[in-house]
Amino acid sequence: MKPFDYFRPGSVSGAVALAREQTCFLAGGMSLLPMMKHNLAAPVALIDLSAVPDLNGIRKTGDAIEIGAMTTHAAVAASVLVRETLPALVALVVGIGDPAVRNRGTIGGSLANNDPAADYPAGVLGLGATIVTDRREITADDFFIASFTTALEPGELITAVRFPVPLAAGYVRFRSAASRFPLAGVFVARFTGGVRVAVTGAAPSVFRVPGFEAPLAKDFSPGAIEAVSVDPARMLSDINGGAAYRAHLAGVMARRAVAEAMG
Amino acid sequence: MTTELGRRQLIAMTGAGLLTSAAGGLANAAEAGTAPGNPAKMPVAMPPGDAFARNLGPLPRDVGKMITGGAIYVDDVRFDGEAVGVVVRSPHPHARIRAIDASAARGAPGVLAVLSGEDVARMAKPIACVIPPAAYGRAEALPVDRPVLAAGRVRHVGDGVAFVVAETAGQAREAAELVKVDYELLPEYVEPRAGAVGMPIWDAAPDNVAFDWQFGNPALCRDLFNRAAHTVRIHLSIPRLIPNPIEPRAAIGLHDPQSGKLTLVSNPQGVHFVRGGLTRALGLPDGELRVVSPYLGGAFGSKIYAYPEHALVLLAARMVGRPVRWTATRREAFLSDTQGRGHTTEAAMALDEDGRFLALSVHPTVDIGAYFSQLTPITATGVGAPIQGGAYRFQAIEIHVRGIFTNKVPVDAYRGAGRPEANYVLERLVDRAAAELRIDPAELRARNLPDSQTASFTAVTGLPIGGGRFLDNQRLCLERADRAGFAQRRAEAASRGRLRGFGFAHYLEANGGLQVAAAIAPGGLPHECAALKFGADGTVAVTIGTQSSGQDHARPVTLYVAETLGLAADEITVREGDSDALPIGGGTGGSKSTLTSSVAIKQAVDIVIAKARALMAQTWNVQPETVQFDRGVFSAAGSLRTVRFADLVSRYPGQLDNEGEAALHYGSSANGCHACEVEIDPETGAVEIVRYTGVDDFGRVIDAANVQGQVQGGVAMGIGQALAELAPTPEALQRPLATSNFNHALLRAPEIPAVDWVDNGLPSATNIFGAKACGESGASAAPPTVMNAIADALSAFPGARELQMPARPEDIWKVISSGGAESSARTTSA
Amino acid sequence: MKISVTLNGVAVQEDVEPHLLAAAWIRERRCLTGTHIGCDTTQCGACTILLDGVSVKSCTLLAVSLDGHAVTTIEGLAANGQDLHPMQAAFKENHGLQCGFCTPGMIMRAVDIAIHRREADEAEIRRELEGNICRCTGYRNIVAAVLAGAQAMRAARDK
Repeated sequence: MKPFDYFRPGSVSGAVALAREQTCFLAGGMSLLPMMKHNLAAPVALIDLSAVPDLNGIRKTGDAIEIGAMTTHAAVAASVLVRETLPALVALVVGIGDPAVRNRGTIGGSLANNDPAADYPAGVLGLGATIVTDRREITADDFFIASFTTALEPGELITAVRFPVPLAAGYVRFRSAASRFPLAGVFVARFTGGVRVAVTGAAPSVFRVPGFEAPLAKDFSPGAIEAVSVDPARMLSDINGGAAYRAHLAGVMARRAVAEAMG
Repeated sequence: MTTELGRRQLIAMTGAGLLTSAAGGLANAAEAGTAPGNPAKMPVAMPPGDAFARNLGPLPRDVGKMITGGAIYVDDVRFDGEAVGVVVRSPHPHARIRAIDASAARGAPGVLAVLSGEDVARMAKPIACVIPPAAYGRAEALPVDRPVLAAGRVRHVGDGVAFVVAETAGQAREAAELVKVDYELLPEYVEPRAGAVGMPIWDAAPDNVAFDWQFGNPALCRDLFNRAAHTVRIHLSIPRLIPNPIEPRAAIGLHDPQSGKLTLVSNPQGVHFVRGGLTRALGLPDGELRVVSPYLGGAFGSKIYAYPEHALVLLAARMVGRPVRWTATRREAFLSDTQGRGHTTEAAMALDEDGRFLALSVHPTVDIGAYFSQLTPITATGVGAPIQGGAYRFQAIEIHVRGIFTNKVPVDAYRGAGRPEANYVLERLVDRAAAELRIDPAELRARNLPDSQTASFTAVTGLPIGGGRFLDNQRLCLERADRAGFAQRRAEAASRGRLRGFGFAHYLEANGGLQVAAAIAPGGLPHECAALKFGADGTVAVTIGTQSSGQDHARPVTLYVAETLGLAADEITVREGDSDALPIGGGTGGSKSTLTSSVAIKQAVDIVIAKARALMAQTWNVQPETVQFDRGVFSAAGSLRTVRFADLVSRYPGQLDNEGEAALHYGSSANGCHACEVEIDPETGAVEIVRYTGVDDFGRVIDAANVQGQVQGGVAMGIGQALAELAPTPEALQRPLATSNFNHALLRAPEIPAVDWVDNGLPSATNIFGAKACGESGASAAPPTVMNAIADALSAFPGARELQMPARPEDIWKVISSGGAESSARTTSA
Repeated sequence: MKISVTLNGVAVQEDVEPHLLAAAWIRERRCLTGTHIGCDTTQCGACTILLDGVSVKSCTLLAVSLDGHAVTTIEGLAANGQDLHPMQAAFKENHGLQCGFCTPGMIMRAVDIAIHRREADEAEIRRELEGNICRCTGYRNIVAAVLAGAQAMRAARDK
C-alpha cells in the first residue's frame, strides 16, 4: 500500500473536520483496505472512526430500530433486538462475506461504499431505512445513486441507519461460489402502506422493482410475482454471471424472499 | 527503511551466519538478545525461519511445529542483509518489446539492480524442457523453453520482462512501476486452434502447432470402427485449471563470493530436479548450486520445475552481493505458475451388438501455452496414454494428441498430470455408450472388465496392471452408495422440486513416474536415494530425496526401518529437502514417492544389514552367509550367539551409516470406483453433492489416516474441477480481481462432502510395502463421477449432452431453461 | 505512530507506519511467522488471528488498528505451562492438516468457533469455516478436529 496520513479522532465533528479531498473514513476496512492493497484507491489520509463514541450500538427509537454506523455485521447478527424486530436483516447480515469479515465489516462502511454486489443496500432500500449523517437524514430511496456512488457529500459521515419495523420481511440471495457476493439478493418488506422489493448484486446499483411491488401489495405470495420478471437489459454481465441469468435469479430470489417473509 | 533488518539483527544471535550482517551489526549491545515486546528483556528463542537460515539442511515434516506456528516456509526464512526482487510482467498476451527504459527504476530509492531480458540472456539460457522431441512425435526440438526473462517478445500476460532488486519489498514494487516498456501488440492466440493469422507465437511453429503425437493402433481401430455394431461419440472439454496451493511460490538466492557457490532456498517438489534445471540454465559447473527447501505449503504439480524466478534470485544475488528474495503474490501465481489440464477432446468408442468394447479413439487438442515447461509435452501425451483404456478389454486404442501454442502460461503437471484427463474421457464416454445402447452403466462396465481380479495382465496400451478388484470395487461402491434405493430418493427429491442424479466412475492409475522417466531417456527409470545415519543415542536420521508438500511420506519409511532393524519408530526421523545431503533425488510427483522411497530405503537398509553382517561374521569368526538376520537380531547359525542391531550401533559408531540408491522398476496401478449423488435446484442451477462414496484399491494401506486424507483432498480438487474452477482468460487476466481467489472459485467447507471411504486393497507384489500409491486417485475419480451424476440428474434435458466442466449454476440453468421441461412464459417488467 | 498492543499476553509498544498491515507487523516486526499470507483478496484466511478474542483476517487490518487491543496468534495459543491448546491437539489427533500452511488460520478460527458457537454441529461448523480455504485436506478432518477440539475445550471449562 502507498503511505498515507492517519488520524483517529475522538468525535464526529473532529472526524468531519479532518475530511478533505482524497481522504477516506476508515470503518471496518473490509472494502477499503482490499482496494488500497490493489491500488484501486490511494487516499492521502485515513480517518479512523474506531475511537468516535456513539457510532456503535443498536437501540430502539420510537417505532424504529437505529443501528450505529460502526456496528459490525457480527454485532447485528447477535443482537436480540434485531432478531426480534428485523429477523430478515439478521438473515442478510449472517451471509455477508465470511465470519472473520463479519467481525470487522460495518453497516456504515458498506453503505458508504455502495458496492453493487453488497448485501446491505438491499436491506436498507428494501426496508425504506433512513441514513442519518452528521448533517442531515437521507432516505434510502435518495441514497443509492450508482455503482460505488451515493448521495453523500464529500466529507459527510454516516452516523446511524434507522430502520422502520415491517409487518413481514425476507431476504434471500444466491451467491457466486468465488467471491461469495450475491449474484442476486432480494429483500422484500411488507408494510401497511405497501410492499418494497429491493434487488442487489444484479445491476450496477441496488434497485427497487415496482413491477413486483404492485402485485405483492395486492397479494403477498410468491404466486403473485410468478409471471413477472426483471428486465435483463438493466442487469450486469461479467465474469461472475450473465445478465439473463441475473434477471432470472432476481425473480427466483424475490419469490423465495416472499416465502421467507410469510414464514 | 531498515527497521525490518534492524529488528532481526537485534533478535538474532549472530555468529556463524552465512553472510556478514549489513552495516551496523549489533548497533546497540545493550539490547542484544532482547525479545520483541518483552519489557522484562528476557531472551527468547530465535524465530524458526532465522534459525533455519543459519543452519540450512534437510527438514522433517513435524506436525507439532505446523500446529504451533513453528513450521518454516520460504517466506518465513530471513537472511541478514537480504534484498527483495520484484518481477515486472507483461500486461499483454503477445507483443514485441520495442524498448525497455529502466533508468527511472534504477534511480529510485533503495534500488540495487534492474535486470532486463537482454541482460539475463547473457547470463542464462532458457529453462530446458527435459523431454526429448522423439517422445512427443517431433523430429527436432522446438526452441520454446521458458526464458528467465523474455527478451524481444512477450508471449503471455505475466511473462517477465524485468527484475527489480531493492532494499525492501516496498521500494522494489515502487521501482517496478517505473520500468517503462514499449510494446508493439501482436495477434493474440487464445483458442487452441492450429493456424496463425499473422505472426505465430513461434517462428519455428508457423501454424502454432507444438506437436502432433500418435499412439496405439489407428489402422486396427479404423477397421474395428468400420465393422462395429455401435459407435458412440463424445466431445469433452477439460479446461485449464489453477493449481492454487495456498502457499505461493517463493525463492531466496544466496551467493558465497569466496567459494562461488550458489544456494537456492525455495519450495520445489524436489530439490535435485530443480538443481539440474538451473545448473543447465545458468551454465554452472556441477556442485556449484545447492537447493534447499523448508516446508512446502502444497504444490499439486505446480512446484516441480525450475522457474524463471529461481534463476533470477540467483543471478541477482551474485550481482548485488546480497541474498535476494522473491515471493509471489496470489496475482502473480495466476500469471506465472504452470496451469493444469487444458484439453478439448473428441473421442469415440466402437462396440459390438452385445455392448462389448472393441476400439477406443481419443483425439485431444491441448492448450499448451506459450512455452514448454519442463515436462509439458509428456504430461500431454505419454503420461495419460497408458491408462486411456482403463482396465477394460479393448481390442485396439488409438490416441492422437495435438498440442497447440497459445498466449498463456504453460500447462504442465497438475494432480494426475494427464491421467485424470484420460480417465475423464473414458468414463464419460462409457456412460454415454450406456445411455445410447440402453444398457445399465454398471452392467456395461462389468461386461468389459477383466474376469480375473488378482492376476496381473497387460492393458491394450501396454501398461502392466498388477491385478485389481475392478468388478469388486464397483459392486462394493454401488452397494455402499445404496444405488438400489436411489429411485426412491430421486422421487422424494422431485417432490421437493429438486433434480437428483446418481453417477459413478471407475479409474485406473499408473503410479511411479515411470512414463516420465522413460520419456526423458530411453530405458530411463525413476531413481531415489536414502541415507541412514545412526546416532549413539539410539536415534536414526533418514535423509531421502522425496519432498513432502503435505503428504506423510515418512511414515512407511519410518515403519520399514523400525521393523526391519528392530528399532523404535519414534527414534527415527525422516528428513527431506537438501540437494547437498544426497547425490540424487527423485522428488515427489506422479504419486511415486511411496514407491520410490520403498526401493531407496530397502537398498539403504540392505546395505546396512550387509555391513553389519560382515562385522558380525568377523566378530564371531564365521562365514558371513551363516550369520542370520531376522527382525533386528543377528544370530550365528548353529549357536546361541545373538546380537541386536540396536546394540551394534553403539558398538560401531558411524560405521553402519550408509546410503542407498535404487531404481524403481515397477509402478503400481491403484484403481477404484467412486459414486456420488447430486441434487440440483432447477431454479438456480446450484448443485449440491449430497453423498460421495469412494472405493479404492491402494494395495496394503500402511497409514489409513494419511491415505484417506489424500483421497479426500484429491476428491475435493476433482469436485472443484467439475463444478467451479476455471483458469481466467488472457483478457480477464488483465484486470486485477480476475487473478485472485475473489474470482477464481475454490470450494469451501460447506461445499465439499466427506468421502465415505472403503479400503478394498489388493496388496501389490512389486514393492516391499505392498502398497499402491494414492496421492492423485481422487483427482482422477471425482470429475467423471460428479459429471455423470449431473448428467443423470439432467437426463430429461437434451441440452445436458453439451454440458461441460465447470458445470456452474448458470450453465446448468441454461440447460434446464432451454427446454426439456415446460418453460413458463413471463411478462417482462422494468 | 506508536501502538500499544497486548500480543500473546505480553504488552508491546512500537512505532509503526500507518500503511503497515497487521499481518506484516506480526510476521516482519514481531517475527511471529506462524501467521501466513496465502492470497491478496482477503479470501483464504491463512492470516487469521484473534483480536480481542474474535477471529479477524490480519492481512486486511492495519497495525495501527491493533492499538489498545489484545492480539493472539498461533504462537500464543497455548497457555502458560501447556504444550498445546486443546484445539491444536485436536488438529494433530484428527489429522486436520497436510501441508500445514492454512493450519494456523484454521486453528485460530476454530478456537473462535468453539468459544462463540458452542453448540455448533457439523453443518454449522462447515459454514463457520467458510472464510478459511484449504487446498490439501478437502476439509473433512478439519471439521472433525474442530468438533473434537470444541468438545475438549468444553470439558476443560466444565471441570
